[in-house]
Amino acid sequence: MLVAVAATGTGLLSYQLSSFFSQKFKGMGLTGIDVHKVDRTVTAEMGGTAVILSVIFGSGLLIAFDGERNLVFVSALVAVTLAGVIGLADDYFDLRQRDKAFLIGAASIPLGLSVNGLGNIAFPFIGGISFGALTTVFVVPLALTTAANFSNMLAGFNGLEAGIATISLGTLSFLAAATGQWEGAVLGILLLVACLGFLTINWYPAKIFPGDAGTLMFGAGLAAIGLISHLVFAAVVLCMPAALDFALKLQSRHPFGQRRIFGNSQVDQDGTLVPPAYPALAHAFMQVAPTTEKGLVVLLLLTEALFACLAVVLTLFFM
Amino acid sequence: MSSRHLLVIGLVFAIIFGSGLATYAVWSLLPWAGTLDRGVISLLTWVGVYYLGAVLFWRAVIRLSSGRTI
Repeated sequence: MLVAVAATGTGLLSYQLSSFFSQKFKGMGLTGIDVHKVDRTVTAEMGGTAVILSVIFGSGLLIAFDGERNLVFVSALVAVTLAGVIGLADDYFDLRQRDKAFLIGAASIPLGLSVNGLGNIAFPFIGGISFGALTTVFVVPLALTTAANFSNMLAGFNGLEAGIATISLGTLSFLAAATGQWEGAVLGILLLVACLGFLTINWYPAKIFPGDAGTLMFGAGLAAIGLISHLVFAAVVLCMPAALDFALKLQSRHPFGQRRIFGNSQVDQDGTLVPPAYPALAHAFMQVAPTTEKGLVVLLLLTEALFACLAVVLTLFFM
Repeated sequence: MSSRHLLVIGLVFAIIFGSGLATYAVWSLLPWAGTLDRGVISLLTWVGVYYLGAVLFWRAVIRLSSGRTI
């Protein structure tokens, strides 16, 4: 009952805060240009702040009134919110890529210590592999840093980041509940409803962007829930579209500087997108046939949804 | 959404199934190795095949391309 109240409050607060920040941040000059609109609309940035605050509110409510939340839940919450705060710092101060990776790795230390000894990481057809002490010092920091940065890379279109997070967090929450991992399921539901509240304001045409505060938090949330719910393989499958985007971007001569060199996708007068000439998953859809921004986001969300189905089938029937 | 878009989604899945099969094959070929060693070698195989798949994916996209780039 309390979980339902906390989830409802989190979703409503996320929606209200996203709506409020979309006006407030614009007035404060915390804005970015929506480069995929013909009129290049000025839109509020750092919308992930609404998600961070609403998840803290919902979790705080649960921790205060529900004695069942344990150390694993709190350490995962700390890792996820710290990833969001690092994203905020990045939005404001433009951190270097390696600094972001290091800071997220450091933020995951409490989570690494609390999940150490949770047992094997299970894979379909193969079985469980125990990483022992490597779990704390290597697997957990690597998982959070990788997922957060993947989430940050497959981004840049209205509703894409929050949409992918909604699908993947919804899938992991369902799998966590189906396998009796309640700590992961509860944290997943809080993040899911916060994403949904934000997505209603962020969907095309977006009134606010998530910024790195949102994208890093979404990715860290996916990894953290996968780790505390023994659903690492499902989380890996859900990251596959972003992993492909990363592998495609690695093929160009300047893997992390393409946008600076080639510029952004451009929008034609008919609303269809024209991609810059470097490999990326979104560019693949734009290259093979004309598509609008909204159409592209639907295609990428469809891809993520199909991977979500694969994650569910592999987890429930082959592990 | 066109048939070419659906073909791109199909190619994405071909990569994951191909890399998954290669990983399982390598895992099966190393029964004598320790579990962690097998896991690490299989993981490296997956990363390698996934990257190769990404290279082939982009070549296929270029073939399908309507020539729309900046």
